[in-house]
Amino acid sequence: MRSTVRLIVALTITCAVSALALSVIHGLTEEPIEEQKRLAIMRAVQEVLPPFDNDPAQETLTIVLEQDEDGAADTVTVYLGTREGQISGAAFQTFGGGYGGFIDIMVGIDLDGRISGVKILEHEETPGLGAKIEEPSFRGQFKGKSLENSVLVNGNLAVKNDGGDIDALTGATISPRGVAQAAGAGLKIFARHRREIVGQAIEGEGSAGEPAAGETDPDEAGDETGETGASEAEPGAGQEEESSADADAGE
Amino acid sequence: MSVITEFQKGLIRENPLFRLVLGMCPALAVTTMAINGVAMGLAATAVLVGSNLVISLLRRFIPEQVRIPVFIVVIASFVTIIDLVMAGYFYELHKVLGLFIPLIVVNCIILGRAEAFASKNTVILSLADGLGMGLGFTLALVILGSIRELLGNGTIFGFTVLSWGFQPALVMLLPPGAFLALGLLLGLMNKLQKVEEA
Repeated sequence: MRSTVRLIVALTITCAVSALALSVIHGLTEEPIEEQKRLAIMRAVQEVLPPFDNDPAQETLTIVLEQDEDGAADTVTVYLGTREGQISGAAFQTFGGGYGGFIDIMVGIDLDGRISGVKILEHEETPGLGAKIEEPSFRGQFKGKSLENSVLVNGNLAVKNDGGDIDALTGATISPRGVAQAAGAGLKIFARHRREIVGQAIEGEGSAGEPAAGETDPDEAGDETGETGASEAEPGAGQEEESSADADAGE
Repeated sequence: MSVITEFQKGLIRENPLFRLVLGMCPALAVTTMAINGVAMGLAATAVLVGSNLVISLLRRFIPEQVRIPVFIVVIASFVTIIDLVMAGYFYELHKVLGLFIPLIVVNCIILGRAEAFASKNTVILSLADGLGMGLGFTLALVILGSIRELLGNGTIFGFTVLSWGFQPALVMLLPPGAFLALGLLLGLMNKLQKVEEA
């Protein structure tokens, strides 16, 4: 009996001390970890955007995707690049299926719907093979690609093995395919939500009078209604917008 | 039983990977490049030294019957601490090794040294043992990683060594290459030992 109590006490003390140590370390490292993640995303944003002179971290909007849209989470945070007050492009996160798991990328797109840059955020590809998707020589070929000037397979960018025009890597086809998929998804999302993205910038400049769709207004405190309101307001906003009907160009 | 012999034995004579054949999972998984071997080895060394220290300090207070659960709690705590610290301050490295750090918990070397050495020896000797075993593990991972990187990519630590007319053997970077390289290295070590004994 006494020995049983001793066992319980010994284990309890060990676990309690461990838990205390872990909570202290967690508390100390929580902020640096968040900061590192934020910095990694912002470095990627700055790398992929077309030339800009603002702070994209300060100019973001959230767009809500429709259910049939693949390649990104349900809501996408778009980082806007502006130059001399004019919007120059947008960057946001999309993903595609790789060999070892999902490949998360940051894709930058200019106003003409062309990719201005691609940066791999996270992947689980084989080091030395699929992991070479991180190298600029591979990522660089996406620059300038658009849905109009590329060979599309099933409406998306594709690697040469699948009939598209993206060069794959030596010994790795699946990883480049995942990146092509993610980059193509970015182009399609941009094309469909162009009004939301570009309209936001015009509103930010102060020239257009109407409320931008994605912006969180203080009046729209209820987030549920705020979101549906935002997506419903869109067709109305589109009528007054100068941008033409190229939102459907992706189809 | 001096500090120096305890330290030295892990490097070659009782090298965890080549002689004790422990910790195979990370050894096979991460060694596609020499630099990964360095990082994984040093992370494991940090955990090993930490757990050996704590366990040898506690060795009189841990009841025999629950020693294994206590060891595992101590080791898992150290691994989590290393994981958090790396994520917070060495983000790029953590991105490469992130998947493998939690595996250190079940790395047999750590639990093996806790059970076989630290729970029976003094703090100083346990530290020497942990450091020696950890560095021996690191050395083995670097050798394995260098061979695979050289044959599979023509580089070592990212520097091009073989270029003209060299056709990289991609299989060396894939899991079968790890088994091939490790098997041949183990065979070589056995052969060397035989020669030494003869």
